[in-house]
Amino acid sequence: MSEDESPDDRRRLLVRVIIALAIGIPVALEALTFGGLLGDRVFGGGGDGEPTTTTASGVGIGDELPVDSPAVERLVGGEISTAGDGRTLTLTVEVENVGAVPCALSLETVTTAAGEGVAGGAATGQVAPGETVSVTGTWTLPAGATPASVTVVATTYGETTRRQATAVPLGKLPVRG
Amino acid sequence: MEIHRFETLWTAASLVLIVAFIGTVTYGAVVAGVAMVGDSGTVDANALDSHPEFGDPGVRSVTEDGERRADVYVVAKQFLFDPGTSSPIRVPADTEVTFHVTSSDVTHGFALPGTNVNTMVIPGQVTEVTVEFEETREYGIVCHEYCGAGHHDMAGTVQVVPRSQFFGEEDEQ
Amino acid sequence: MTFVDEYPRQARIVRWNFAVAFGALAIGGFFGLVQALHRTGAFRGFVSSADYYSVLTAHGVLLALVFTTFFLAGLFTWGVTRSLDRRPVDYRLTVGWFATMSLGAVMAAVAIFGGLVPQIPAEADVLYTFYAPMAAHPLFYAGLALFVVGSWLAGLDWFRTYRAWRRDNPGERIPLQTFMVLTTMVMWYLSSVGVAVEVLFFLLPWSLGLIPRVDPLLTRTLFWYFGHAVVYFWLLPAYLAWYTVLPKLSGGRLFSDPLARVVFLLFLLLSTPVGFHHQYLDPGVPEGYKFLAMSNTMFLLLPSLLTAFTVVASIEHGARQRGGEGRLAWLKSLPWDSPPFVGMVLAGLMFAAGGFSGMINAGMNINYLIHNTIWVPGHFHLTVGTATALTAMATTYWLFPQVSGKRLRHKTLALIQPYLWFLGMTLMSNAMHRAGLAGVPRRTAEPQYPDAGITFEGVVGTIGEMRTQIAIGGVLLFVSLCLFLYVVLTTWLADRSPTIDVNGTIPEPLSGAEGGPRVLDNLRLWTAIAVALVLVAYGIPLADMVLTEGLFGPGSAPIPV
Repeated sequence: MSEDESPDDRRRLLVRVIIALAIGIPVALEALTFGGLLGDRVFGGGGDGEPTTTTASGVGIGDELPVDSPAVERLVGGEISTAGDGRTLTLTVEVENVGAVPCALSLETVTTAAGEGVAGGAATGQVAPGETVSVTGTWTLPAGATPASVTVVATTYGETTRRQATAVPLGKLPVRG
Repeated sequence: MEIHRFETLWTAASLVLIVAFIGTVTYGAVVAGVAMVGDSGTVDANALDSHPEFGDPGVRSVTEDGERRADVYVVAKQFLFDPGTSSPIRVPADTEVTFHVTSSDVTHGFALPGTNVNTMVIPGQVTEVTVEFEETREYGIVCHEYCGAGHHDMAGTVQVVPRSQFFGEEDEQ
Repeated sequence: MTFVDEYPRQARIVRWNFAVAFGALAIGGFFGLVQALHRTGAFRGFVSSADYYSVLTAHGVLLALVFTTFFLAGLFTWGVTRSLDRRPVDYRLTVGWFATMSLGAVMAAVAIFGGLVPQIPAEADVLYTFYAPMAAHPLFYAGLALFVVGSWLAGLDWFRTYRAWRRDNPGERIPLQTFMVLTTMVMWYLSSVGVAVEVLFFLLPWSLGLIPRVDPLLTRTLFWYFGHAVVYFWLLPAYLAWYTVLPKLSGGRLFSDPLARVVFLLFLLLSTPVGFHHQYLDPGVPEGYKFLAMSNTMFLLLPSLLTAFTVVASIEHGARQRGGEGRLAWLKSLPWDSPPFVGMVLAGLMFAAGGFSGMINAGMNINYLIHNTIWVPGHFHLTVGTATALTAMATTYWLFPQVSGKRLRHKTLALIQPYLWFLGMTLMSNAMHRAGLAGVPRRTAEPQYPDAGITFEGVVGTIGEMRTQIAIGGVLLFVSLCLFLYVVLTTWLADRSPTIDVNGTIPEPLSGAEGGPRVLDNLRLWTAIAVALVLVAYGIPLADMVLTEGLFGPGSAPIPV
């Protein structure tokens, strides 16, 4: 075939461009993949894209929320219900105020595994020292979405009012049809 | 036969690589103790209802040599896992759990993505897989062997609960 | 003289085989596009998810059985005729096997299309592996049986031609291409016995209601007895091209003829006694047989690694003949603007990657991580999907002018085509491997599981990214396929040219056949050893299954799809 082709500058340019794309892109892709795998294995993190940590370190039912506040917040209930038309996430958090000053907790935006933010939630209102209060929030998730984290805001009513927002990663929650 | 020096070196290196691969797999089998799914006996796929275990599939807690463990009997069929699909399979964490799976119709798959539980389910055969779950979380069950038109809807759930919760509840039952 | 002028009837047989092969490639390839778009969710408008499985069955059967075998038959017809420099003995036998294979293929295809076309009163949504107790229409099994028998007749044709040549050439070494054809066919006879027994003794009568039950495990084991060796039936024609044609395209000669023979003999010995590695996670098969299959499989890496050496050495030799110098700079002196060269080299490169992901599959306990996930299609699209398919396309660019007398049209498109295939396949296969590590299943129309709330956790990149990459890769592959079909079709329909611009001569190897020991050509010896290895690896387990549960137990009745 090519033995009889006379040298053609345009053809040589075409070949160079094609090689650059057709071999360069695969090499880059594989290098990125390999690097990503190394990063994941060697450095224990990385990979691109997931907005929150995977469910391995997410909060499950019965776990304490990793919130910096004088109270103890615990996830006591959570499920995704697909009954009816939508996909509804319900989270119940129990707030036990073991501190000396009133506090409050509000459950706010849920972020899905795909990175979308879902509005919804609920708040406790002021919780007096020694009191334990439950709060249940609901969110309507998009079809097929899995909740990855929920933003909680812990307020402490001391000498100054302090508000602290934390994105709490969520573990796997039961799905009820 | 004239063999180039590089050819000899390359062949020797290839053989070393091959033996090394066989070695790593053998290590996994013998030292790390990863058992393969083996021959665990046969059943009559057409008469599972009258089988002592598969006739009433579910989770059983067992005490063996003073150790508490769990046995899960699952029947796979077009297009669901019984149990698993309509109600989740609840098993204890940090405990030896043995899945016994069979099929009442065609060949299915039984896999928990994110774990090493991955096996075939063949009518007439019993699949036994023993695992220990470390995390209390939920796993999906996926059928990954084509089994008919509804194959992509065939899925279920395994819930891993704290060990104390599982065996505590068992005492209450 | 061009092949078409010296052997016009054989050239016609080659063209007929290529016509069926490329027809199957076109339909099967289009279905691949449909699948890539459907399962990733990019576009689900072609078929329903239930009908997806008819598409998937057609994709597997048309590409992995029809396209591959007919291409092999065309290539081997050319190779035997050319290397023995004589016509096959009986032209009627040649036409006979072609007709038998074609009839069988059409029968099976009609049954499969019955899943998409309501007017056809047959269905075969059983996928290319057709595991019992899922049952297809008897037409499907009958077609497959006829197809395999036709391939046996093709082998007979080539063996008879060899025998006639041998009578006239006592004591001479078997010409290399014929040696490759004969060893491939012995391997084929040995391995296809399994699927022939499965279909003729069990599935066909069972689907006709003549026997009530079959043992799903036994029939599955018989399939995989065949199912691994068949991949070498796909691969060895590509090896034939890489060993005998690629060195010449690179401007040089084959590095070593005897080593090529050794490689083919290793495949003859090892292709079949490894089949249990497809059944690592099967119940009913004891771990010992799986372990034996694992170590046999690992040794299959050897002939491929040897091939890598020989092929690269031959290409380097060719590059230096063209003026290349330096440790690596000789790569630049290769004919990167030659479509057949580019296709074969990129196919070989991709095969190396596929071989290593295959080693993961072979790794017995490691297999737990990826069995029946989309990693597996990621692997075999590199091997049969590129090493075989892309080499077939590349070989066609070189061979078709010689068997038709027509110059290749649209050479620029022909040049772009293999590069585009390589790019598309890297994108698709890379994402398939990564998604498989996350546990995404294969053979599934909708691997999203929204209602069950199952999420797959990507290690590198998100699952969504992987889906997009598969869809894009699939589209690029389809475009590349269209380029190939367009080039071949326009060339075929054009008039004969007074001369073709392909030089069909194949130079002698650097290290010739005389340098290799005579025992290499002793096909009877190697066949006997191959049979012995199969008896050990399969005789014992099969006897075990049959003796404990009988031929038909534990049995299942047909479950129609």
